[in-house]
Order: sequence, then C-alpha cells, then structure tokens
Amino acid sequence: MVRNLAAISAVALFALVAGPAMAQAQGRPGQDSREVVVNPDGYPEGVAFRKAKVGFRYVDASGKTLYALNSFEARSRGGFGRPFCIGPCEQVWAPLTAPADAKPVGRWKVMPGAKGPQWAYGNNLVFTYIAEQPGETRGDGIEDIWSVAEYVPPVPQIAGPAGVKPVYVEGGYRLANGAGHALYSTKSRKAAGTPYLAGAASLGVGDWTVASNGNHMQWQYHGKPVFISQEEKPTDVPAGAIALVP
Amino acid sequence: MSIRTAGAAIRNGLRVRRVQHSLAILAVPLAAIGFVAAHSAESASDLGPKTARARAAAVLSPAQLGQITGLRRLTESQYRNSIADVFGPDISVVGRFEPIVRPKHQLIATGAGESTISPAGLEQFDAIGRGIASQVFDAAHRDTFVKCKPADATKPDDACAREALAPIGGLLFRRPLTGAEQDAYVQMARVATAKSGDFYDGVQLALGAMLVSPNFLYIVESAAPDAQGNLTLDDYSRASRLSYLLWDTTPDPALLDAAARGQLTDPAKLAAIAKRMIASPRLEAGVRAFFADMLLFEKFDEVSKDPIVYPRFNPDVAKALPEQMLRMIADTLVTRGADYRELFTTRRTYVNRALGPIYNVPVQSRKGWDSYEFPADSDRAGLLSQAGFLALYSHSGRSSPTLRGRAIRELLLCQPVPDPPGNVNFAVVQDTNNMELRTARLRLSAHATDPVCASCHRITDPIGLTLEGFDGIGVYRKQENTADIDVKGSFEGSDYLGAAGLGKALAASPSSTECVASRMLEYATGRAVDSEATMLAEVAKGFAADQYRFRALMLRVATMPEAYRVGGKPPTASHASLSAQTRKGGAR
Repeated sequence: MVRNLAAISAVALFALVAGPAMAQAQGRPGQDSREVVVNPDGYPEGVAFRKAKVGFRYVDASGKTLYALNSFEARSRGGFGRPFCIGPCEQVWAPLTAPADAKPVGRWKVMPGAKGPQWAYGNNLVFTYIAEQPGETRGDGIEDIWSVAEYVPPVPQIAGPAGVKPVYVEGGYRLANGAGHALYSTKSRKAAGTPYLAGAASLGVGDWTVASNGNHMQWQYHGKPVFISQEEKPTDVPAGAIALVP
Repeated sequence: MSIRTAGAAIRNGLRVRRVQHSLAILAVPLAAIGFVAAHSAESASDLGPKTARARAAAVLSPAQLGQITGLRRLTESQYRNSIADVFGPDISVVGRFEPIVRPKHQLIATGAGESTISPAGLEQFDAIGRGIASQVFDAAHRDTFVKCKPADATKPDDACAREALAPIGGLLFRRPLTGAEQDAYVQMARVATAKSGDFYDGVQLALGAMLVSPNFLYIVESAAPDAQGNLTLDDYSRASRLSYLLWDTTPDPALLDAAARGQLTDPAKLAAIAKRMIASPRLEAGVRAFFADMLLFEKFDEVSKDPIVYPRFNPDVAKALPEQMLRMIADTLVTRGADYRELFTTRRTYVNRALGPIYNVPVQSRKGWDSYEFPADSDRAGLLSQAGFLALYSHSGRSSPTLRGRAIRELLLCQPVPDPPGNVNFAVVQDTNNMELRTARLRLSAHATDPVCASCHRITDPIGLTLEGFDGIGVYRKQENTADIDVKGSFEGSDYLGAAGLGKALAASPSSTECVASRMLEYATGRAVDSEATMLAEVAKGFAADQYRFRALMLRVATMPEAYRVGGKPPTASHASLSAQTRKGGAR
C-alpha cells in the first residue's frame, strides 16, 4: 500500500494556528466533510481534498476518491514498459487524465498513461474507482497496489525555539524536537518525563516562554511546561499527555 | 577576512597576546561606574527569565570586584555543561579541549588552579567559541537570544548590541559585566559590523571574544575581608563554587540572583541554597564529576588491550566500563543515599549488552542498562570488582596486582606509593608463560626477593593479589596457566579472601572515609589540603557523625566557613588585567 506522506511544495507554506482554523483558509475543506473545495495551489485544477477518517484524501471534481497506483509493483506484474491499466483493469479503474498542455504542480506531474497524458502523484499514476460513489474508499488496498492518495497539508511555519519542527502524524502535524521526538505538555506527574530544556539566556519566542523548574530552565508552550517523548515510537506521547500542535 | 589567530599562553598575570581576525581585542581602561543592579522583591525561586536576564545585564562596579585569589580553569565537562545551561542543549560544542595537567597525587581540580593554556590550546578554544557564537546568532537561533532588532542590519547598533551581549556576558562570566566590559564588547561588535556590513556578524564576533576571555575559561575567585578582617570568597565566587561543586555547571539565574542579594555570605541562607541544590537530581552530575576526578577516569582514554589475549575487549566495552562504575556510584551514594563504605561491598551494579560477556550475565535491554545484583556467593562486590577498575589497572596483555594495589592505596586510601627506580628488571613479572612461576603471585614473590623492590611491593601486592581472580579486563577466573589462583590477602593486620573480602576490609578502614573526605575538600577548594589538618579533621569527623552519607559530606564542605577562607599567596592577576585587552586596529 502506497502512502504518500510527503509535504506539499514549500510554495504553499502558510501559518496554521489550529485544526479547525484550517477550515477558514483558502482551499481547505469545510467543517462539512462532504464539502469539496478546489484549490489551484499545490495540486491540479479539478483536484481537491476532503477530510478522511485520519487526515485528508484527494478527490476529483465530483468528489470521488483518487487512488495512487504503486507503479513499480504494477510494472513488475505487467512487465516493464507496458502501460497500465488496460484490458479488464480499465473496466474498474478510470485514469485521471491531464490536459495535453498540463504542467507539473506541487508533487503532481504528468505521465503517459494507457489513454494519453495522465496525472501522477509522485511517480504513481492516479485513478478513480469506477464502481464507487463520491465519499467512498472501497478501492483502498485492492490487490495491494491501489491506495488512497493522501493529501498532506503544507508544513506550517513555526515561531518557536530553533530546534522545534513540525512532524506529520496521523493526519496532522505535531511539534517535535530536532531528533523527531514529539513534544508534549501534561498535568499528570507520572507522564511528566524529560523536560525540554532551554538556556538561561533564552528568551520567549511566539507562544513559547522559558521558566525555571527548580533544576533547569525549561521551555513552556502557552504557559505549560514542555516535555520530550521517550516512547518507543518517537512521535507518540505517553498516556495522560497532550501532544503539542502548531 | 583573513583568518590568522595568534594563540596565547595564559599565565599568572594573564597577558593575552594579540588575537587577530574575528577576535578583535580592544583596550578599554576600566572606569569606576556606579552599581545599578536592580534588586526586585521576588524571591530567587520566582526568578523568571526576563528578571534573570535583567540581573545578568546589570552593570557591576569595578569596586564591587574583590581581589582575585584563585583562577581555576574549566574542565571540559564544566565547559560543555556551562554552554548547555547558558544557551540550551541545542547549541553544539565541537572541538578538542587541551587537558588540564593533574599534579602528582592530587586532583585535576587542583591542577585547574595552576593550569595555563598553550597557544595551540587557545586556538582550540577560539575555534570552539566561534562555533558556538555562530550558532547563537544564526538566523535560526537569534530570535531566541535577542529581542531587539537593529535599526539597520547592515550597520552598527550599539543599543541593540548591548541589549544582546550584556545579559549573555553576565551568564558566561558568572557575574554582571562592568560598564567598561560592556562598552568594550559593544565597541568590538561595532567595529566588526562596520567592516562586515552585518550587525549579527558583529555581535557574533563579540560573543566569540567573550568565550576566550579568561573570565569565562577560568572560574575567577575573588575575596573580600569579612567582619573579622579575614579574606573570604565573595558572593559571586561562592555561587560558582557551589554550582561547579554540586552540579558541575555554571551558576543558574537563581544562584546568581542570590549572589547579587548578598545571600551567599550569610551562613543560614548559604546553607538553605546548598540544601536545595543537594536535593536536586542534578547532584548526580556533581558526584559523577568528583569521582571521575578522584578515580583518574582520564586514563580510560588510554586503555588498550591485546586483542589476542582479550578478544572480548572491544570499543563498546571500553566505552561502557567507566559508565558502569559511575552508574554504580551514583546509584549507591545519590539514588539510595547509602553509607559511602557500601561502595566497597555492594553487589548491585548495572550491565549493558557490551558488558554482558565480561560478567557472563544475560542482559535484557538491547540498548541502555539493566540493574543487576551479583549473587551472595560471587566474589564480585563493590567498586574493586568492577571490570572498569580491574581493566584500568592492568597491562595490555596481563593483570597487575601491583598496579591494582597501588591504585587502591593512592586513590582510595590517599597513601602515595613511590615510583619504581629506573633500573628495575621486570622480566620475571612480565613472563606470563613461565611454567615454573605460573601465577602472578609466584612471579611477584620471585621479583620481590630483591630488597630494592620488596619495600614497595609489600605495600601494594598483598592488596592487589586478592584481585587476581579477575583477569586483565575483569573477567572472572579460577586459574592462571592451569594453576589455581590464591586470592588470600591481608590489610591493616586482617586477613581475608578475594575481592569481596578486600572490599569489607577497606570499608572497615578509617583511611577510606578520611581519604574521600579530604578529596572532597580538595575538590571543592581547588587546592591541596594536606597542611590543613584542623579543617580535614573537622570534615572527617563530621562525615562519621553523618554516618558516611555522601550528600551530607558535600553539604558540609559546601557550607563550612573555613572552606571559603582564603590563605596563601594569591595570583598576581587582577580584574583589570583580566579585562584589559589590547586593541590593535580592531577587527580584521
């Protein structure tokens, strides 16, 4: 199953304040998950994105889910150099065709498909599943080569300590330290682990401030002490903790 | 910009030779400037970062600087910890540190008080400092350290430069800068900005200069007369003393604030602050640094073993050995707060994957350390049976009862052993394949028939031979060259068997506790204390009264008034000479 988790081109960078606020920005889906918003920035005209169970997925102009084909796997089954998909396949999957003069946008590019120029996301040709209705995702995982084309929001611009960076986790961004470990705050003493240390010369930046915890200078986010996750999966946070989000 | 940095030897009097390029050194005569530090009403524990910076940025009058009575060079760990605590762990410290020479039979902490920096060493510090400065003021970090924006980033802005540099300087120098010092660094930044056309290049250069200042590289101890007319360390010097002794790092804003308020020359307030620091988990860093000094851990950098004789020894093992010892020490003395003497008898330790084969124990953790307790019938107990100690005091291809015995005498009992004469024939001892003298005990007995050798070997070997149950990398063995190993020993009139028996004998000896007490006093004061019998006796007696609790020993040494009194001949350096810098055309 191909999951494209790459960030959209930096051209589309803008500050994200919180999840709901995303609905207010241009080109983003509204609170109603059936609302389809078309945005020409970062993806082709006629393509939009919609809220999924986790994260977002690309849809066409009619709201049908877009699927990326694992091209390498497909070619290895069909023989290298042979266009995909043809024959019985084209009864099931409809290519997302591109105009003859289409130009690449963001991570989208034009590749030769079985029926002419076709949109590809990364190197994966994009299709819709003919049998399903808008809003459905029944095509996900079929034959282990079709997967929902995931929309990854632009990387938010962070105003904070130099080491803080956003990491994309399960459909949204979390704040992490330079090593990719999620940052969190907590009211639980049990969950309070490794403090995110600051220097005595450090000043506050944006929503970040510095305070002494009695032993060290520690960063605070919105007035709450910040800790660094030491979970097995670095982007997880312990029970009772709240992951910091941009 | 040409890069040519002239090094300098920093000696008593601390003349810094001209440093060119990005270390434009300016001569600014010190002027008496009124002390304008603000004393706010909040307590030290409420000290927020803005107030901390304000305090650090306050202007100190030169009249407030006492007479310099000591200059102790920062060790590498103190340097790194200080930078991490001033700028945060995000700022990397990259470079090689010129080591501090350890005086014979003394601590590095004492050597630091006599340490010079060679020209090559200063070049290294210069490179390290410039690396730090370039990160602090780069585009990613500068907003964290500077709030003001220059009116024109291509031109000098003295007000913004002062706002940026003064608080940082106060934290680095462990006291507020004087007005003249602030002026000097601001001028440095101005000249550099004028040349480079970039304000941040200017402040970066000034910060780089601070990082090679003697005021940063050395812990400057100043004293002033007390009510009885005795010279005692002033408040800022006490702040440094406490912080480097207990936490192995630079004073934090709360401690600097206490110094600004004069709290550290008040015995009751000093004790309260010291107790807070000793209760902190950061005490572990101080304890580790102390024992790394007391047990000569710098020798681990030189350990090498014959891979044919010891195939189990590898870089991962070498790296784990000192860490295991320190974990065991920290667990015993800090986490469990046990009696110091338990260091010689405890069966509790830590092992990781690398050390599992050395100890022949299974290790669950793939990374990290497992706690482990040796069985009651094992000969492993205490510090002396840790592979680190055994490997450190062995040769590359064989164990050495003499080295081990000598290490125990000198490091743990504070009983120096003379060096061997230059013309000794070690052939008998070194011949590990001798089938007539199959064990080290037999070889040493043969060697010690020479009366020249016997006198010292009588001091070391009866102790060291009891550790022969462990080979040159600390692996347990019962035989050497198919002969059974005899681990009988005697110490201070008592006979015992093996490492466990030796540990008990050391624990029972007053010398072991008196030794660590005197080392702690030496470590805290940075001077040899052999001649200070009264103070030594008081510390040793207090240690016993505190049931040999290590935290109590550190608290006693951190708060006893005698430890802050200054005696002897102070250095000829003055604050003026430390701050006076030669201007040779500014930045190049």
